[in-house]
Amino acid sequence: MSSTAADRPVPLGGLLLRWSCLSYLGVVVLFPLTAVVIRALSAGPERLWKEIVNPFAWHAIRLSLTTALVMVAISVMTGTATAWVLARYEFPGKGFVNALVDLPFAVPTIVTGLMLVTLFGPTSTLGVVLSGFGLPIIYEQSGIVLALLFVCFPFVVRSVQPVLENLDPAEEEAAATMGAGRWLIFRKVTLPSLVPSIVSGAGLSFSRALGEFGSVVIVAGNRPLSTKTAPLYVYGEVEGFNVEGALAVSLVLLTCSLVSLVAASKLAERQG
Amino acid sequence: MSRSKFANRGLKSVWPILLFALILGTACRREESPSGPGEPERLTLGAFSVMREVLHDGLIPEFLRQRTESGKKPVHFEESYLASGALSRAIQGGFDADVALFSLDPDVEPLVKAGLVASDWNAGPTKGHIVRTLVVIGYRPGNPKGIADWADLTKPEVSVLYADPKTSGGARWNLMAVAAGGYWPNDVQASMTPMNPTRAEKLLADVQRNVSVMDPSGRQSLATFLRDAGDAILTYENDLVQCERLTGRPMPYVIPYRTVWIEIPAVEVSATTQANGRSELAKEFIAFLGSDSAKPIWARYGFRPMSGTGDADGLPPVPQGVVRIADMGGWKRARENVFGPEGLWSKSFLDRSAKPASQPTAAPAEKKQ
Repeated sequence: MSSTAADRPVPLGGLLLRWSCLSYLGVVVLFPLTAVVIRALSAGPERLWKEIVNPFAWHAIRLSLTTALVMVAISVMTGTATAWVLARYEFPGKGFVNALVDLPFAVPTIVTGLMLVTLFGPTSTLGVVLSGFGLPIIYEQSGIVLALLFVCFPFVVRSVQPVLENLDPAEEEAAATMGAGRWLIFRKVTLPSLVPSIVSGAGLSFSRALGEFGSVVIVAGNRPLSTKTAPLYVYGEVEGFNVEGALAVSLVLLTCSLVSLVAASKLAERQG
Repeated sequence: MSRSKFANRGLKSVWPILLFALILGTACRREESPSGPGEPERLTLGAFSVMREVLHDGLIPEFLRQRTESGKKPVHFEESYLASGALSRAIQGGFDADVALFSLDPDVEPLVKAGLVASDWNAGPTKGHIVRTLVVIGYRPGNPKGIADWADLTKPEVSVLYADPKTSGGARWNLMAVAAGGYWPNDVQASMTPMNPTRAEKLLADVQRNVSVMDPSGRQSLATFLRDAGDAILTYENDLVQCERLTGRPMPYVIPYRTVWIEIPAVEVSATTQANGRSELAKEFIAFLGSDSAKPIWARYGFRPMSGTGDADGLPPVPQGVVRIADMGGWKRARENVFGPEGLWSKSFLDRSAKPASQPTAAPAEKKQ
């Protein structure tokens, strides 16, 4: 009467679920991406290269990468801090704040853009003050970073928070009884276990930021060789009937996203 | 660990989405019934977004009124408003518009190539255009920066708005008008004088240097201007007239002496009209759009007639120096000269961002034109 896992017939339901999920992923994610890649590659490597090194395209790609990196650098710190506060402290209205964190996902990004222009725009009080200090934000590159910070805010928080909540307090308590200060405990005991989740949050934010269009198109000013990011450039080329140019830059964006996501997950795996 | 939350949520959401798609699929399969003898005739109209108000609130009601008066069958209009380029692509992709209005001629060309529009669409006296407007400079009430002509946009303290010519057909017209101002100084006669590309490139570069925002579309550019960004905006005259009407805010503008006519083509998509038997109705509607009885309605919305000097009731007089795209070598050449990879506009950026040493490299490019 003994039966091993190998003899047991695979339950039909499980098999069905597995295959339907995989085919769903294929249809919804892989198909469109493959179509873009195939269409891009069909233009030929020479043409693609020419489109990528075109000064306008190249500047747009560089701008997207740098603004995304700056955003990630800031987000990693603010996101971890927010997760820390939410996981470790009790305060009135915590439930509300917790819900607020996800709001950037729900707001249409174009609304985000308009909101930021209203708040920081050249004629808003804040904008006038900042411009007085020589720090105009809207229609400048710093405006792009600001929009990305808003749009990508939930990623790091939501990656780190559950890990922090499930962390075994025993280690921290042990460190404390041995006389370690709070900062030392955070750096030597807590942070190492958070690194995988921080890295994965950073990877997600970075990829999301590379493709961000709706908010950036409002706050950036869209000036070529100045504040035009890669997605805005792609849009411009599609509208201008230069499909190859659009595909070439899209391919670069896709590659960067894929590399960052794979790298983040590998890194998280090794650390974890 | 942190991902599993996302993954679970994703899995569960598959089924509602599939179900929704299924319902949507069945719901959309309803076929349109062909118009029977007693039913009104149908006409599907595709137009670029700017046309929405003048068509929907002004011209279509007047057209229907005239038909009722002459005892003809009523017409049921199906209107669709898109960006001009998007409309062109939609029709190529199967959108069954009977009549289409575009913001510029080149959007018609692919339809002719695809055999959807007759190749003689622009054979008539007005070259297929039904109405026109002008590129103008809008400024703040009271004109605090003293803006009267293109040169005023190059002053260091002036912040200028226009849409991105990559995405906005309107912006291409706008910049073409700046180019015209550069090609020919105000004191020469355009038809007698060769174009001066060096002067045009300088003017384009100097204006571009003062640009603070380049929105994807003309409408968005106007919205940005209404949010109090910028001292001046390059746009269509009709857009400012329309904006004043809608917002109630005064939108003063000046017509630069050397600006261009924006000529708006209306075409019958013969592939569709022939399939639906609506060719006659389509022709009738297009003829109405260019007729004398349509003129006052167009003028109320800031558009000028194709005939005569283009002067219209309630609109400022047309300056002597206005040129047509045809004067600049036609759309293809004019666009290539300004917006092509070696064009004046593209070059004005690269020359600006490069070191002064790039001057010699820019020279051979000019020969190609």
